[in-house]
Amino acid sequence: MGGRQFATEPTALAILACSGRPDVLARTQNADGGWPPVYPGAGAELPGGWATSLAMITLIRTHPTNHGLQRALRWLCASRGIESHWLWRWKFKLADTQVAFNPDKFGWSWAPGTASWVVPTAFAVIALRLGRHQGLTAPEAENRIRIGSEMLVDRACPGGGWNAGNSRVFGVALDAHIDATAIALLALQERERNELLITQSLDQLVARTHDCLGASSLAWALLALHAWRRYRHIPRELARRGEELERLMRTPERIADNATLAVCALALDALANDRNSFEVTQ
Amino acid sequence: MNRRGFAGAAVRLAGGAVLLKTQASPSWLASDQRPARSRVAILTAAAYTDKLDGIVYEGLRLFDLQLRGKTVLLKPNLVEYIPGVEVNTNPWLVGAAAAAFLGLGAAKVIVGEGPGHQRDTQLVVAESKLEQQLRDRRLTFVDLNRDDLVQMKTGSSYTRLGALWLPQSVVGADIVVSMPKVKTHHWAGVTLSMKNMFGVVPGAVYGWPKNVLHWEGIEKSILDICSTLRPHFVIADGIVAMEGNGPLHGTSRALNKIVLSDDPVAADFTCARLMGLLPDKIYHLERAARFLGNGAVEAIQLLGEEIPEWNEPFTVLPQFEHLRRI
Repeated sequence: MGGRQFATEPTALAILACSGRPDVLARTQNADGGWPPVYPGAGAELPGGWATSLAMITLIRTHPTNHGLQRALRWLCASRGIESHWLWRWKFKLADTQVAFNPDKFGWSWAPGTASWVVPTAFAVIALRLGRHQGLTAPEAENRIRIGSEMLVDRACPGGGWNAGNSRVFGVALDAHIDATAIALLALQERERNELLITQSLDQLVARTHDCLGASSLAWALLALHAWRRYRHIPRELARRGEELERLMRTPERIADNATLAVCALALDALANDRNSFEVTQ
Repeated sequence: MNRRGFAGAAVRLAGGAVLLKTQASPSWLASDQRPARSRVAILTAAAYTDKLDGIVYEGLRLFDLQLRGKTVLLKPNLVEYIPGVEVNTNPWLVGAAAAAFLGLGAAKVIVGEGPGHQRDTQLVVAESKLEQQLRDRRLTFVDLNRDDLVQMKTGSSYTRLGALWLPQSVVGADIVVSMPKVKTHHWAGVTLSMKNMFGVVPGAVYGWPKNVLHWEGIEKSILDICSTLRPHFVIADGIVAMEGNGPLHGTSRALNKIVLSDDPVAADFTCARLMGLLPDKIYHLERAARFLGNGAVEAIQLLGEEIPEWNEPFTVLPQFEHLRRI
């Protein structure tokens, strides 16, 4: 956060960026394995799906033998969007159809008792895939990776890329957001490079980050483009976007919070040292 | 009493409790925050230019607010940037409001917002050109999605939340000014000064969007948020409003008005009337008028212009057709 209160997302990203010690994450993990988005206080009743995934990614990268990881894995496997319940699934299929999505494809929510959204689902899929590379497995994990990835594909915007949660509301196609598109592409790294959705989304990301004014969005885009750097013209665009990010970072108000600063550092590290914390194969 | 008699009495008692709960308004125990009389100023403004400075300054003077030494938080509606579409509270109006409050004695003006879907708040601030106003007028911006937090018990019980985590910058401000864009809304009917307060609920706890509020019911959440943190003042941007499929994909509609008020409920009733809609038919407005502010024409003193006899009603999605004043 920008203030003095502890929050899991900026803390996890900062530890990743500085290769710091993850002790604070071990201390703030809930007994059930999840992490609160802010601490203390809002955790017990509202464990955050995305906070848990980011803490898990950070622990896997910095302290892969941490005892909390197995509990985090169990928490992630047990957590799911509310539309996965058969009652809501039928409601969304039969009655509540203003928002276009397939409720059979579910992922992770921001907060318990709510629906799946793109960013928390993408972070969870990345965490589970990284966990798998480290030999961290649970019976349900593979199934959740598969359904979560299918959910992301289902929710993609018509021309590629991702909005916050859905592709179409009240009949209107939604535009892709840069950061949601980037994080979803990081989650789908194991898909084929020539798949239409991937090529369209990468093209969207390249187009939409030209003269991008948001440092956080641009940094996430850089991390995604770096992970997909073997694709056509990406290396050339990576270098340009890297220069744009450095230029943006010279304006202090563009780096308004610690999460943005940390993700910018992670993006520049990926470019300079070919070390991408969100690349699943590394 | 024998066992059967006891069981029967228990069932009747439980039934009575359920009946009482369903019949009582969730605002039943909420404190009545309605002022004896509310003040609203409807002002004509033709365009988004620096002329707004004078219009807003003169409008604020009508209210004779005690601003000396106060910290004012302006809360515009900043959703996302869609080129060519008037989605957000216009930055010119935000700048003009800041200048007016400072000119009338406020010690400090902060601009704060926590967009619902866009995690990159700075991107929206920059693309919407609010950044330019902040820089030119040397204003501080607070991302309410990531501010320090305090927990507050909700002022009413329309939702099951019981308490809300809210940004310190908003809770600590002496005067919170809700600055909505006057728009139709595909879930709530309209989005005005009360719906605009969704933006103070922090994404860092509730996510992007604040989906907890959707599952609790958007209109019920509006009521609980506003009863917990009732905005002290309203400056609504109705210069270019939105009709149809708002709040993002509707059509621009020139109203050429800004609406100022010391009561968010009175402001929203007045804006709805300017939109040619029936405020009493909008659930969260009708409920709010029972305990949060005044909706009845008799309880609202108009300091500026009158509401026109007839305004072509805003177009709405079919499910809100009953809101239109025909």
